[in-house]
Amino acid sequence: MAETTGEVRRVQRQLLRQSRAFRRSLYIRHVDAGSDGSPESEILALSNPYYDLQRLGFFFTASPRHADIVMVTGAVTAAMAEPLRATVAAMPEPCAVIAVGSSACGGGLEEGPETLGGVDTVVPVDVYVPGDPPSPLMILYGLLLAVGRVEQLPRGSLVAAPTTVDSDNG
Amino acid sequence: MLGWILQGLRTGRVTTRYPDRPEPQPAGVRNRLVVDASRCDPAAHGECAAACPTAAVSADAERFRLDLARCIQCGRCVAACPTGALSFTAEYELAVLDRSDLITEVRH
Repeated sequence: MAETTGEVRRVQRQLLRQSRAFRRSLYIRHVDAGSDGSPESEILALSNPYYDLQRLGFFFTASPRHADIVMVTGAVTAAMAEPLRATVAAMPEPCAVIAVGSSACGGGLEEGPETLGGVDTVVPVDVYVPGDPPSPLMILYGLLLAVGRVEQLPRGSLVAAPTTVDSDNG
Repeated sequence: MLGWILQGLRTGRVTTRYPDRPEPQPAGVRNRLVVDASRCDPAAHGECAAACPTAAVSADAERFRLDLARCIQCGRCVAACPTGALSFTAEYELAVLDRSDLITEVRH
């Protein structure tokens, strides 16, 4: 992947989110770059009958060469930096990188001298999914955001949006 | 066999309707940490930042800063805040395209 500046990359990603290539079914490659295992359990839960990721046209694949989206978990250990870079370089364009979990977004609990403190220190990230671990719904929203099927909710505001709370399900 | 069919008909569809419909969240779920700017008191600064294990929350006399990309939703800052300015919401659509969108700042 060629080095691009932030603004160029932002325009590039905006075009990607509008492109027809990302309107069809997509393959996801998951890379564990030194995670504690909690985001993995939530990613696995996406495939269960309740969340049923396949109904939305997302599938997991074992090869980055077949993948459109790479999901990265963990704060990126020094040993995983190069494999992660190679994975993203091996993917066909257009591709999207999703940082799943607080550790992948900004270091989180796994911050230390052994880790680099987030995926964006190694490869450019398109979507950040915070949470330690993020629930399957949060990851699902991140996926839909990456492919442009939903718009990002306004962030940075202090006012919390009202959400439905199911009081029976405590 | 017939029992399975009847059970399936009784249970109906269990798969979530999200994203077509919003998903109800269980009560008391800790998804997104939010700060009420009007109750964030600079005189009481420091308790939340001291309680945070990942330095997601930092506070001094000039400003309060919350970085969701570092937050692990442990809730220690909520318990530590003397003015009750911090709380959790049940929002789950938290993913952003830009790293800076995860940061909330309150300037005093």
